[in-house]
Amino acid sequence: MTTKVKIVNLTKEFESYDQPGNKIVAVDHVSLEIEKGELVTLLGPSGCGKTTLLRMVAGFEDPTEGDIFLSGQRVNDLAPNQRNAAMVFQSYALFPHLNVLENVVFGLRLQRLSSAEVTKRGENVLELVGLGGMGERGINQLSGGQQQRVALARAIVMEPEVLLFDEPLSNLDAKLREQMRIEIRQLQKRLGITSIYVTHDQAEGMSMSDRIVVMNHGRIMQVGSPTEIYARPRNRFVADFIGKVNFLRSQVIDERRVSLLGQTFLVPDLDGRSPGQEVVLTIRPEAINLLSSGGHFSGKIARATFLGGIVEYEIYVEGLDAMMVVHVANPMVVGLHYVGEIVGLELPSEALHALAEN
Amino acid sequence: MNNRFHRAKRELELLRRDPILLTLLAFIAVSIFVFVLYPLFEVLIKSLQTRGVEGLTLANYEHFFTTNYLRLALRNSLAVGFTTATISVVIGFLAAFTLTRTNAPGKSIWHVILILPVISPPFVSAISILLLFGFNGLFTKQFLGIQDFNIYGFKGVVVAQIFTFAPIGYLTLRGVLSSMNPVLEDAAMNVGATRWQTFRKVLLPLSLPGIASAFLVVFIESLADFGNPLVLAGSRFPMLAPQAYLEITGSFNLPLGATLAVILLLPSMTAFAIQRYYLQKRQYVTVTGKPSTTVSKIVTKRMQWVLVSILGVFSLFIMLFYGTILVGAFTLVWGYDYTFTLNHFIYTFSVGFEAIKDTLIVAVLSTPTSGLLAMMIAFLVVRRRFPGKGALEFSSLLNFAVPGTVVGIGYILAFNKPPLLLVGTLAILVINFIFRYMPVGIQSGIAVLQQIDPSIEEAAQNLGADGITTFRKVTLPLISPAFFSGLVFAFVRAMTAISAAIFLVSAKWNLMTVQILNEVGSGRLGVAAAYSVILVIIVIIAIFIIGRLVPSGAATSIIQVQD
Repeated sequence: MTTKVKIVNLTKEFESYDQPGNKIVAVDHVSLEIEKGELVTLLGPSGCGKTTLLRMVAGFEDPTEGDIFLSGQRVNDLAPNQRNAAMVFQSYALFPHLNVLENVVFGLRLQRLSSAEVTKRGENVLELVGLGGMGERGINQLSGGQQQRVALARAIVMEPEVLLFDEPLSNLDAKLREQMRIEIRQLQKRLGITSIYVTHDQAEGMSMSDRIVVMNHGRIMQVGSPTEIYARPRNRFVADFIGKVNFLRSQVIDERRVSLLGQTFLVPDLDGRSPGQEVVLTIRPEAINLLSSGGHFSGKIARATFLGGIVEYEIYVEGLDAMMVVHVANPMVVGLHYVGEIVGLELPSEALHALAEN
Repeated sequence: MNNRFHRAKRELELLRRDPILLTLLAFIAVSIFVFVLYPLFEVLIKSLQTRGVEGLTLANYEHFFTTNYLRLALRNSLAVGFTTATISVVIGFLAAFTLTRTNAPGKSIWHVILILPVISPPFVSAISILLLFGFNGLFTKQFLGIQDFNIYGFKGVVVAQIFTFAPIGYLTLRGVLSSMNPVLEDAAMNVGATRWQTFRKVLLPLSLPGIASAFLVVFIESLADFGNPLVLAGSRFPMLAPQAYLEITGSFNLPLGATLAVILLLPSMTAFAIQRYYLQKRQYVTVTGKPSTTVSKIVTKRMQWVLVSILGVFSLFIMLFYGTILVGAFTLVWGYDYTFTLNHFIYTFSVGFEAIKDTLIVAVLSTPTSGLLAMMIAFLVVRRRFPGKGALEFSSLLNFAVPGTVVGIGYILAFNKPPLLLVGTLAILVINFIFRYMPVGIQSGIAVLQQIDPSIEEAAQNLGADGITTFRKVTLPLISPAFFSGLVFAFVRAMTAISAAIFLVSAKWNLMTVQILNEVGSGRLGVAAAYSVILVIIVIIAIFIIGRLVPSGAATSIIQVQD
């Protein structure tokens, strides 16, 4: 059995503070399976339930309904200290009265291991996270990034069944965050530890995960690999949450074609819809070709924002309720269009995607 | 209703995953019930019983309200309470203001002098007043030759209580004034307010909840005060606490004693309720983070000297009182023969050593137990959910509001029969002290715990530590400042307790404080003074030792909750 974590119908309800008697459903009947060695990210806006879900797996919250299985064993009634699901906390939660090494081996010291063994494993894992030789330091002498690594080391040294990450990089500056993402992912792959990673940062989610679970209002919106989530979002929320997107309302002609603003388009993934039905298409800003004239539609440039590597154009197209967002790469070489200019937009078929849920 | 039951059941289930903690919780709950609530209940029941009448009656209460002497006791206690509280708060405020908001010289010295009364038996002032202003007093007899100046009664008690309790008012108000943002004064003066207006319209209103709080605390202490009234009230000025004691030990009228205890309890509980549930919510903390002491701009140099002078006079009197005790301990026969002698000390260390030994045993046994229990209860209250948590918290803090006299009577009523026949043993003294002085430890434990990021303890559990291990290896080291102050408080109180203790001593187990009162009663003021001196020295040494043993936690600075 290579499923490490199985979550079945997991639900968490809280009593509402301002209206007692009313319930807030933080996690709404979520089911999920995570395979050995995977890094799965729970991604969503604040309040979507991802942290509550993680905490239920760790045992810090008690589920209202549903079951959690770790390596095939039902763990609902197990205390947090009996689950072998080491966690890297958002605030690091390092023990201020212990030095770096003692922080890292805290969990090991509770097991029946020899002191020599414990120290050896502690020092090994410190090397692994790039803090070799710093075991004697006090933790208030460390920088934020170093403290983060201590928290990571403390969890890894436990060789847990599943490793839990609760937004571990949110307290770091942007450059450090990018660096740590790569390091954490490399370490995780090298050690092959099954991991659940919670974040609201899509770049983290996209760059680190084997699969992403997009959540909103306590429910799973979609589960898939980063490419799947990006290229084939199931609904508006997922499409809009990751990157930027254009929504196009169109009518189904037959099982392969739709009609949009009087033009016919081939859409690869229409999935057996009946003619006449409305279907919402998505197309990413970088996939639209901008021409001086011609293309499928013409539009007028309403705004041009220079972002360095790309220019973002907002273009008004007659008949569409929202502006089209188009990204053009390498603007310094390719050239810039000006506000007010009339341009042509070309929508390649392979870039069009039909939302499963309107 | 069904929902609450369901939730309670689930909370207990969850707690059952940590059996040691659950057992501990059950043990604590049972202990509090038996040693805090049950004795109070016994007092209440006893007050409703009369000799010769079956069942429960209100006869005692009727008797109380129709007897002049007893009604007078209630009036006197309340009058003394209000007077003491008012004057103490004024002095306390002036002292706190001077020591936190001005450039007065020698602040640490003033501070030490001011808290001297807190670490001595509460009736030291009474004894000094007797030595100085009594019938054989230094001032009255030797210096002024007045024969019939009567220090007893209202004025004696009030003066003694002011010097005993104003320091407590000072400590309370110190915290309040330190947490006031000096920027507010600047803002007021910036729009044209004079110094006096700034004080009246900004400082005073902001301090008002703190002042009211201090008033109520001193009021409760004054009502519960036993030692000072016993020494200085006299037979023409009855007061509730000593009267309850006299009814029981003198007239063997337990029901009436219990009744007096209940009547004593009512104003205390009311004051406590007001202080805790109404005033606490209205404290104005205008400084975020650590309070700093900066100099107030509304105090002129001249004003500062006035304040320092007032403080100086007050402190001088405190020094005078302690000096008198010290001299009295070495004086042969106060009032008649002022030769230097070591006889009194020789007596305390030979014949009278039992009392010193017994007191130390009781204090050393109850202090660490009280401190540890307080930290565990604080941990359970802040970090765990279980049915009846509110009741547990309330009961464990109840002893703040209950006068010692009431507790003492409750204990002799509750534990003079099997299965808990504890009267006359060491156990009853130790247990009484443990549960009586827990509240301060619990309060400061809760305050410190609320500032610690809970994810640190979650991390410990996540790595495999159960409840007790987490408490031992992570929580306790981090809350050691609170643990320290809990220990110090418990030890000081154990050494200086009198109101409950006086009911619980026996032939086999005596306490220094009770012995001191006995010596005063027998007219042996020199011995009483000697014991007092020894007691204060022991307390000072103990504070020093505890400070060495318990690290004060420099680590706490980086564990503040991030927001």
